[in-house]
Formats: sequence, C-alpha cells, structure tokens
Amino acid sequence: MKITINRKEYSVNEHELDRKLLWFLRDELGLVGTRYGCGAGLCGACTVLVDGQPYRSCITPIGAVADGQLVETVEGLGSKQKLHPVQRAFIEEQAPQCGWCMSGQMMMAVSLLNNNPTPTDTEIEEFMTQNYCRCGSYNRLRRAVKRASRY
Amino acid sequence: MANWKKGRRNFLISAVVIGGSVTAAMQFGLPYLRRKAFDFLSEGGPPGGGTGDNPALWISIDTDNTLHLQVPKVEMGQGVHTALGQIVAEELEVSWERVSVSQGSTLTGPVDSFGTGGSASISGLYLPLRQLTANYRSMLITAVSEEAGMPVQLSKGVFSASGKMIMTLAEATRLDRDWVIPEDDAPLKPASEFKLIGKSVPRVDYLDMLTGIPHYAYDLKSSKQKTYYGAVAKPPKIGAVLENVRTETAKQMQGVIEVIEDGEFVGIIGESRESAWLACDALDIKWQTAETIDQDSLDFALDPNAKDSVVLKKTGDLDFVFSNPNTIRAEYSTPFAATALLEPQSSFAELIENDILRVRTPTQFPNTTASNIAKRLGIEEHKVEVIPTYLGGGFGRRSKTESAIEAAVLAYKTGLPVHVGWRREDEFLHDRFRPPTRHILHGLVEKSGHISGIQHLQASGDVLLSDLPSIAASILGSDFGATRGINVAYEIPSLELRAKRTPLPVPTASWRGLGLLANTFATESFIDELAVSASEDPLSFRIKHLPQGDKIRLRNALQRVGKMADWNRKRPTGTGLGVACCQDYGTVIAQVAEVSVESGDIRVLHIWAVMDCGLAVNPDGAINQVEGNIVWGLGSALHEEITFFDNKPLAQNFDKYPLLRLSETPRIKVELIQSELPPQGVGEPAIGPVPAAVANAVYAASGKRLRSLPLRL
Repeated sequence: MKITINRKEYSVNEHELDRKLLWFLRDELGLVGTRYGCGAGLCGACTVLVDGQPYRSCITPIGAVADGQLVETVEGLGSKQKLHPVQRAFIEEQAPQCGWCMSGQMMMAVSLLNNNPTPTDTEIEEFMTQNYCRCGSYNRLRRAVKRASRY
Repeated sequence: MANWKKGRRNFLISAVVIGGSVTAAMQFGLPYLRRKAFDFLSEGGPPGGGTGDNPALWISIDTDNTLHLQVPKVEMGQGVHTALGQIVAEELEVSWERVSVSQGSTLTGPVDSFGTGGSASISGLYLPLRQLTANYRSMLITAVSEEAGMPVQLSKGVFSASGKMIMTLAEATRLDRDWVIPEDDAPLKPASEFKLIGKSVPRVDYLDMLTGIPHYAYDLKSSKQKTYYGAVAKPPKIGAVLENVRTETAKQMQGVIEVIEDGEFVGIIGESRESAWLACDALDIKWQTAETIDQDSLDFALDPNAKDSVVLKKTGDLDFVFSNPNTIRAEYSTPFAATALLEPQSSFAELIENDILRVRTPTQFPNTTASNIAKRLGIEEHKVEVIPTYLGGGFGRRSKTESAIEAAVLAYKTGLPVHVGWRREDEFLHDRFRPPTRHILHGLVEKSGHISGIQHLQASGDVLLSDLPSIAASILGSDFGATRGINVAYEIPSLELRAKRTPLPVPTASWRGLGLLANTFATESFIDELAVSASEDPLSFRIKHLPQGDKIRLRNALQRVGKMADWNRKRPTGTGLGVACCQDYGTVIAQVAEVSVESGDIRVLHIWAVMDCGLAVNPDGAINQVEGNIVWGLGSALHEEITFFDNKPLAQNFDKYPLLRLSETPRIKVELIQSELPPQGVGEPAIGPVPAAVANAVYAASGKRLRSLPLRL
C-alpha cells in the first residue's frame, strides 16, 4: 500500500495498516512536527490534514488514509527559508510559549482558512477552540489566525 | 582560551541561610527562627543561580560573527533563552539577528547550582550575566587595543579605531594570547544606551519549533544507529509496590527485544514504541497496595485548626477580633490539580565515548537529575551527562523527570540507545499533584472602615518539603512552597498567619506558583468579604490599606487596573466586576475580572491586569507570561480538580480533566508598569489573583459568595 504525505509517496506494509498514523509519522518517517498529546483525539496536538480536513492522527489508523488521500503535516507547510503564511503569522504575533501544541494549532488554522479565507472572530473562535494550549496562548492564537487571514 | 583566574563570587545563598538557621535556633528558639525563615523565604525568593567567572563557558562567537550563548536555564516556553540572549547581546554589542541560544550540558556547560524554577532565572542572572559579559567585553577590547596599538571601540560585532575597522568579534575571540579576567569588574553599559534590554525582540527559538525540526525530548533519536523504544512498568495504583512479575508472555510478543528486570524495576525494550507499550501492558505483575487512598480520607487530613500549626507571622494581639460579634469568619478550599503538561515526559539515553551515559531529558533541574541517575546506576557522576531538552511545558512538574532514570537504566543495562516516552494516562496516574488546601480566616473591620485584625489559618499538602531532606521539615515546620503568597500586603495592625504542613499519601509537589494561587484565593476573597461587610467599594478598600511608601507599587497597580477596567462604570444586571491583587517576591500584580452569571453558568468576559515586575527585559514576553498565567488561573477557577478513588485519580485523560479552552478565554488586556527596579519574577506571579478576582466578580454579579475551587454556582 502507498500513503501520500506532503506530496511524497511512502510504502506501508499490510500489517501496519492498524498502526496509528501519528507514530508512523514520528517514529518511522521522522516527521516529528506532528506532536503527541493524549492518544485519544482530545487535545489536538497531533492534528494533520487529510484532503484538507483536520484529522487527529493519534486515533487515525494508517489504513484509513492509505487509499489515495493526501496527508499534510507541518513539515509540508513551509521551511525555515520559506514560511507558510500561517507560520509567519504565528511568529509575528509571538503566539507560542512552549510550542508543543502549535503544529496542531497551525494545521487547524490552515484548514479553516482553506475553507473560509476570511473568517469572522466568532468563526475563528468556534473552530480553533477544539485544540488545547496548556500555556494559554489563546489570545495570541486568535490574533495570529486573524492576521494569517489577511495575507 | 587559557588562564582564567579563579572564581570570586559565591552564590550559595540557600546553604548559608540553612546553615545559619541551626545556630540561630539554639539561641532564639524554634518559633522565632521559623518566623524569621518565613520572612526571608517570602521576601527573598528562590536563588537564581550564578554565572561563575568563565565567559567561555557561556559565550562563543562563530566564524560568521554569530553570538552563540550556552545557558544552564531551561526553556519551557517562558522565554528565558530569549531574555538571556538579550542580556548578553546587549553587553557584547551584538545585533539581535546574530544571536543563537542553546541548552548547556551538565558536563560541559555553565554550572547552575539551582535549576530553573521559582520565576527566578532572570531576576537572579540579570546582574551576574551582564557583569560576566561586560568583563569579557573589557578583556576583548584590551586585547584588540594591544593588537592594534591604539584604543578601539566595539559596535555591532566589529572593533574599530577612528572609524577604521580593526577586526570582528569572532576574530578577536580567536587571538592567540593569555586571557586574564580583570581583577575589578568592568563597568556595565548604562541603561540609557540599551538597544535590546527592555525591548520586545522576537523569540529566539521559534523557527525549529514551528517547522517540525526535532526540538523536544519526545522528538529525539540516535543520530548514529537504530533507536529502540522503552517502556517501564508502573504501579496501576498509587502506593502499590511490585510483589512479583512473570515476563514469559511479554518476552514472546512481536517486536520485543529484551525484558530488563532489576529488583522492582521491570522494563521492555521494543522495536517500536507501540510494541514496547503493548508488551509492558502484558507483563503479569502482582502488585501490593499498602494503604487505601480515597477522596474522603484525603479531605479529612487537612486541618487548619490543628494545635501544632506553625506561626509564620504574628503582629499585635488578636483576642479582640475573636471576642467581637462583628468579626467575619470564612473558610476557603482548593482541590488537588494535575500539571497536565501537553508534552508527556520522555527521555533518550545512549552510551557515548568514554563510557559516558548521555541522557537528554526535559528537566528543570539538570544537575539533580544527573546525580539521581548516577546514584541509581551506582556509577560516578562524571560518567553521566544530562542535556536538558526544550520542554513542552514545565510549570514545576519537570522538577523531577522519572523517565530519565527509566531510559538511563534501559540504555545502561543493554548498551542500546533507548527512548522512553510516557503515555497520557501515565502522566495523570503518576503526576505530582498540586496539593489541596484549606483556609480559615477571621477578620474585623472597625467603624472607621479600617481592618484592625486578620488571622489566616492554612493547611496544605506538601509542595517542596516532599523533595527535601527531613531535616528541612523539622527546622522549618511549615512548607515554604505551600505558604508562598500567604503574606498580606495590606497594612493591618494585628495579623497572624499560621500554617499546618500535611504530608499526604499521594505525591504532591510544585505546580505553577506553588501556594500562590491557593493563598491569594483565600486572602483576596476574604478582603472582599470584609469590604462588603463594611459596605465599602472593594477597590478603594484595598487601596486604602496600602499606604504610600513601600506599598506604593501595589497601590499604583490597583489604581491603574481600575482605570483600565473602567471600574466605576455600572455593568448590566447579571454582570459584575471583581478585583484581586498580590505581591510575589518583588513583583506586584493587580487584576480585574468581568464576569456574567446566567442560568447557573459563570462566563468570564474580560480580565485586565497590571504588573510591575521591575525592568521587563522583554516586555512582550512578560505580557505573554501574564496572559498564560491568567489562562492557568481561569482553568483552576472554573475546571481543574483531581479527585481520587481506589488509589487512583478519576481522571486519566483530558475527557475527565478539561483544560480551559479558547472559547472560554476572555478578552485579556495586560499593561506593565516599568519601574526602576531590576528585573523581578514574571513566570508565575500573575496566576495568584485570578481565581479570587473571578470569585469576587461572581459575587458582584450574583450575590453568591463562592469559597472553594473550582467555582460552582
């Protein structure tokens, strides 16, 4: 089986299809930007995009995304030299504190803005509230997503 | 570089105090000593650590003239790497784009006698690190001047004389000569010439973090060979001890490389993380539970009225308070709370050259961790290197990293590079919890509208004594972590503060701000009750009890936050304002909460905060800390509570321990008062007033006085 991650194809063994996408990304492929928080789809730190929609990779079996879907992780957003607008906005608002939740937050923001390029404050709030930030950077996350929507 | 002269300074303040205390106890008696110790610990604050005299341990300049700073202080999101970078770059005339900061190792980096905690890193290192850098700058200027045969100046990483460039900073540091530390300290750069200190420069560590480059302990792997994954059996209940184990099933499971047994330690090494976890769960272990722990027995343990509580402070006589019919009495309580850092702890251990065991781990106390590992393995300390990683949250929980020992044992016994990562359920079950507290307060307001006396009786589970030798407990009597924030800033003629230290059968330890949140909740709710009882406005009532002079900073913060919140503007029915404030060591903070109470729901609409933390090295970073503390405080005010049943916390994941969410986060406005003081602590003070401000606002909105956390109508 093949799985497409950040526009690149990887082979998956048949017996690995039940494995959770999160650990395949992190421990197999070294794509450690997708973070582990709870293993139960509750906190959002592991959020990746599957065909543009946010998925909690800690509860998503590889088999569920190995059928031609496009998986995107934070590594696919932008590089240090060429940041994605959402990464830029997060930096410009100095949003992160410890930063562990931020990949998930950015993937949520990208998904929101792809579907709705000019969200209202309420729409940002209702969408982004699904992810936890233990450090409490919520005020800045609101601003960062708003800022990214203007780029 | 060579010929560094020996160190001249000694920062072992804490050792001196405890040493001195024993003598003082014999002369003046234990109660006297305990009050003095409380004064010292509540005003002095924890040690911030020193720098030593050798700049080469801290500073190196790459050939491209980038300043590379190696620091012992651990970054956990509080921005300490950025602020330390600002301090050094300022004194060494390096522009901000040319600064990088990394974490030092315990074997080769700068020594830190303390660790990272107590909001003490910047307040403790601000002057020593500036001085170290200024001395280095002076040595470099002397060297280049001698080389050039004329006096030179340093600006933007370049030495020049009469407008002509002589050499770069990088070249100067590579001059082949004997480097001698000046006998007398070089002059510090005057504050009027600051270009970086006091400026909101961007954080130095965002790019790796936001682009998926390995950055945290959980991201680590061996750079040379295959990495193995470890999992270590942990008691399914608190207090359980391993009686015996059968490993046959686990050994035969797919992906299991080895099962390590060492006394009560049983660990799996697996091909993959999941195989190690699965095999660990399949170990057939018989556990012995000693003592039954449930919530009722824990609640019952705390007794603020205990006769043997310790007097922390006593001024004046309080008999008149207890005999007066107008005296107000109130009881407050706060529950256990989890640390719930978003990155579960993990550690990576591998044997490197010279038989050194290198452990990369998210610890706030690298040196303690290194010596604990050495002790556990029975090897010498210089054979263990701890390199702290970037922390996915710290907040006191990383004062101990159990996974460091686990990874160390597995790697040492097998010679394999091993990564051990905890699961979320491990984090909850084996957390070191914020202890519960109970408070009984008595107070009296005279007809004049002034408070004449307050007594605060507090009982708390341990915070710091749980990790200190028992001698500390017998000398101090109370836990100076649990009593943090119990001191009263207001001018009150008769004041008595007592604390009853209560060790509990579940592990309790540091949680952001230690006792600050609980004690401020009790005191600042009670001050509100006193104001209401005297029909006084809660804000002016507080200000009235803070005389000009040494309380002026808190007074100013209150006045300013009142203006920000438009305190005197009447709010609609069902909406109310509450104010609370605190002083935490050298930092003062005042907050106003605006809350609406509708059909049984508390909704926090706004929080305004004014903080005076002396000079803020990075004002935006300081504001970010205040915002984060407010979210933490609101989480405790509205949700966070751990209860125990059958020797386990009921919550094992976020479904039963909800954190505050973005949609519940109010509009937060923070202002700093930049005062003349040097930098004071920033990472914790702002958590103190939050629950009391909210509870006081709930009262204003609904007439209901809520006295226990989390607040429930």
